[in-house]
Amino acid sequence: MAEPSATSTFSRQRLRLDSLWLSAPGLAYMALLLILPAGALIWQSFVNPKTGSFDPSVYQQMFSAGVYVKVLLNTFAISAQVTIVCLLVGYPIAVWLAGMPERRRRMAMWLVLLPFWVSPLLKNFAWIVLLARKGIVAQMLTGMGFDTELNLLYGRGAVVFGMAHAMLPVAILTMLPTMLAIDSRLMPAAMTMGASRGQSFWRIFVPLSMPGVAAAGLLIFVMGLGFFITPALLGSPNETVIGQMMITQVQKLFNLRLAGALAALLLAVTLITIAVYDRLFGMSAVSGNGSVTRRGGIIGAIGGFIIEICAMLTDMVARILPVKLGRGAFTIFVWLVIAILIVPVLAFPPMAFSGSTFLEFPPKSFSMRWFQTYLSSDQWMGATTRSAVIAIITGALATVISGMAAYGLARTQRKAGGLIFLSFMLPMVVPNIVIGVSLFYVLAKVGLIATDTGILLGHTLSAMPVVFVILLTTFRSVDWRLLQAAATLGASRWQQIRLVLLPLVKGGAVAAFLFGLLHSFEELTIALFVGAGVKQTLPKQMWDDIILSISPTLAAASVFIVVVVTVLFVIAEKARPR
Amino acid sequence: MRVPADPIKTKGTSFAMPAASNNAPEIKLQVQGLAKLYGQTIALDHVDLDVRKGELLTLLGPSGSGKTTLLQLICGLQEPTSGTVIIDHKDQTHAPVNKRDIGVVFQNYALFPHMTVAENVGFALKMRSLPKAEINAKVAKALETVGLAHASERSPSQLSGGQQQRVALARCLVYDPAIILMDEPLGALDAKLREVMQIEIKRIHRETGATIIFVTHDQQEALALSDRICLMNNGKIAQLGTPRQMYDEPQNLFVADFIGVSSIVRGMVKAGALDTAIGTLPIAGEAPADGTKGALVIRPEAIRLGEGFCEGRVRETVYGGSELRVIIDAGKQEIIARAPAQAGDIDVGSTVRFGWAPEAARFLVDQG
Repeated sequence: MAEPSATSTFSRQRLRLDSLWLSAPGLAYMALLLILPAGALIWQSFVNPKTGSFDPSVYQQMFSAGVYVKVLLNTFAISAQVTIVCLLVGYPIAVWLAGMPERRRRMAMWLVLLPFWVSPLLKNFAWIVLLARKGIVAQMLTGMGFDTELNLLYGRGAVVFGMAHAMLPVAILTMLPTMLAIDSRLMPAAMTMGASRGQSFWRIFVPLSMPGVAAAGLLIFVMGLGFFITPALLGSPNETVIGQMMITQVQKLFNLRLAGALAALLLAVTLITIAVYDRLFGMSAVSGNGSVTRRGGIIGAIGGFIIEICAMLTDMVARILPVKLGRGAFTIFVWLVIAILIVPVLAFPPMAFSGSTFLEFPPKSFSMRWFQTYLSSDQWMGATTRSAVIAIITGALATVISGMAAYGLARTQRKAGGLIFLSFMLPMVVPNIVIGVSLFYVLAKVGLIATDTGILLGHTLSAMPVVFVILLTTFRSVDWRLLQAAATLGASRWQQIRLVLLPLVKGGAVAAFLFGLLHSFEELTIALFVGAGVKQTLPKQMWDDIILSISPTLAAASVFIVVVVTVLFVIAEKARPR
Repeated sequence: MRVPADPIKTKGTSFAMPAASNNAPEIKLQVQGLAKLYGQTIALDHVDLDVRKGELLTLLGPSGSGKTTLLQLICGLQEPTSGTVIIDHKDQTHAPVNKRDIGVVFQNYALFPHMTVAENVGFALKMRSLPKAEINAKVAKALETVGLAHASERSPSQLSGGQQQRVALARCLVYDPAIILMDEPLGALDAKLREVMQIEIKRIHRETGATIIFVTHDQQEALALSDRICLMNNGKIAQLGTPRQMYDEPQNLFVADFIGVSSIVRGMVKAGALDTAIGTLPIAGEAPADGTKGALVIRPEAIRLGEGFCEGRVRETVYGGSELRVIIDAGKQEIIARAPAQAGDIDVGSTVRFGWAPEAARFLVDQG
């Protein structure tokens, strides 16, 4: 029998544009606004601006001066401490959520998701008031018999608490999917074989949930490295971190070479952390589709040892104390954490409607004067309008660029897909502060610094990961045979897209747009650098006010932001497909 | 190998073609030399097939046999590497999916989740720009045909599997396409419901006179439903015929093995009989040449237990309600026989004699 010959139809197929090409605009965007600027920033840190020759003197300066080394150590220590707190506190909450029936979990998730979408700036600002000397928390503690001169703010404790509070939702949301993927029949199976409840939890559930824990740890640590808001607001000069130092170098000392060196260091540590993580746990755990394999080596041995001890302790405790007590303690812990997550968000309205001339909680009188101040101030209104406009355009731009790439990626089986996915995640890997300084450096050369366009470009870049992930999930959940079905029923290509594909992805696209919008609306770091003090966005205006002079106008603005965030968040969550 | 597409010699007795098949049957679909390559893999190897107007033809075969590829080439979801597809005497090989006059019932129905049942069913009519009133009337009629008139405003997710199946069927029937293709449409249903839907499909086929090509890997389903069966293997047609022809007159060992249960006793022809591990067995009819390798295929119901020219040990008995299936080891040869259940149990491990009428065994040449 003759071999079937390749006819014209065969070559026609090969000529058809590969759907992966749809990600080209997004990749170009990443290259031009992330890789190129960061590369240029780091490059110039090695170059002597006068002679143009290689000159690593800033690095010598950085490592020889005691203050820089101290700042570096600070940054790593704080980041590590925050990571540990987030994992230890977040794990039980994730377990609590994972153990719920689907319907109830969706409700309970709001308690975590809402704080997630309120920016760290707002949450930290709330703590400044709540934890202030003679503030409500100090008073409560004094009432319980503590020292009268309690100083809760401006120390390492406050910084770690504030940062952990800001990042806890991230930790919980990263750990949860792995826990949900654990086969719920495994623990009962272990119990039929004679394991106690505690034993089966420690020996079955905990090891299987570890990939999620590791992923959360990586994410929190890497995010923590570039974080500067909490140390600046809740810390003393002793807690100065790299991020603050970069701001000083850029905005006060105009020393871009040293800023570039700090950026290079931050990026290097980030990449090393990721590489180490990849070696130990494998990158697949981050995307949540890795299979659990048995770990050998040191980590496996230590983990096994910890599990042995914990299982033994749990059994001992269970023998001495009644089960009810343990359950009760667990429930109290969970609700306490949830309360701490939510309280700062709920604290703004009472502060904003206070009649006092300074921020206080709880307020002693009611008035609308601070809202009037907020609404009648040209400065505040200008910032609010600018933020709103930039946010809407950012949401749309990020949705279009990511949408094309997500569609292309969802329709391909090719290996390159993984690389494209990682590229779109880059703005999340590279610390925000590095992105901010890089854009400041490069956009200045093309005259886009202190322009709305510059801020818009930067925001679109940093909103890309979240928008892309939502859209990718949306497109991946589409049953493509529905388009085939529509074709067999007589629908043209355009009709298939308009009548079948668009209605199916509409919810996801709306959610992606709104989350991109929210991201931009609350973004501080990039606006801080690219706005250059000329084009003020709402978060930037708040930042300046918090640093200079705290007034109740801030609370009024915060209420406005929280309301916007809550409303958009509710709409987005409702629109988002499951 | 070219399989005769039109085996007229139906056994006189029971088989009747539906509707307009009395005289020369009109050909609805012609597939000529159709082939599909995926890289170096041959998914479909130059297949020729004619489908008559109003018949229900089953594409049967194991997974990977090319039946789904053939279906996709017919409806245009894939482009063939070579060959032609002719629908209603028009070459449609390169016509886009939406311009071919075909209807497809997908494996998991592919109902549009964002549309109601009525909107799903009316979709094709909307694509054909029919007036609203006409669409409504046709949709109502189609839903009535499948017994779902009451569910028109529900969304597909509110329906049971069987009901979704009916909606998918109605969605095809409503615009009266030249051919309806069904890709394992009953695969997702449980055994009981599958039988109900088989009868339902037979009824709808008879009432509408639609031309249906039905893909399945379930030979029982194929035997139950089809006017003709096209059994596929390795991208080729192994045999094409009525269910009765497929069962009674398999043309090669693959067909004999795939359709129904049979004992296959291999050996070599010697002096008009087959020399096998369980003895020299008679070959009915015209004897093949000496030295031909081949096998006798014997259906379980043809094997008589208790007497005969062979002997074996009962390895297992399987009770099946109306019958008792008896699996016998005769040396290394496995023989499957059937005894009426009323005859009582047969002890596992006992020795039993068995045989068959020589004309009940079919001799087939071993090609592999």
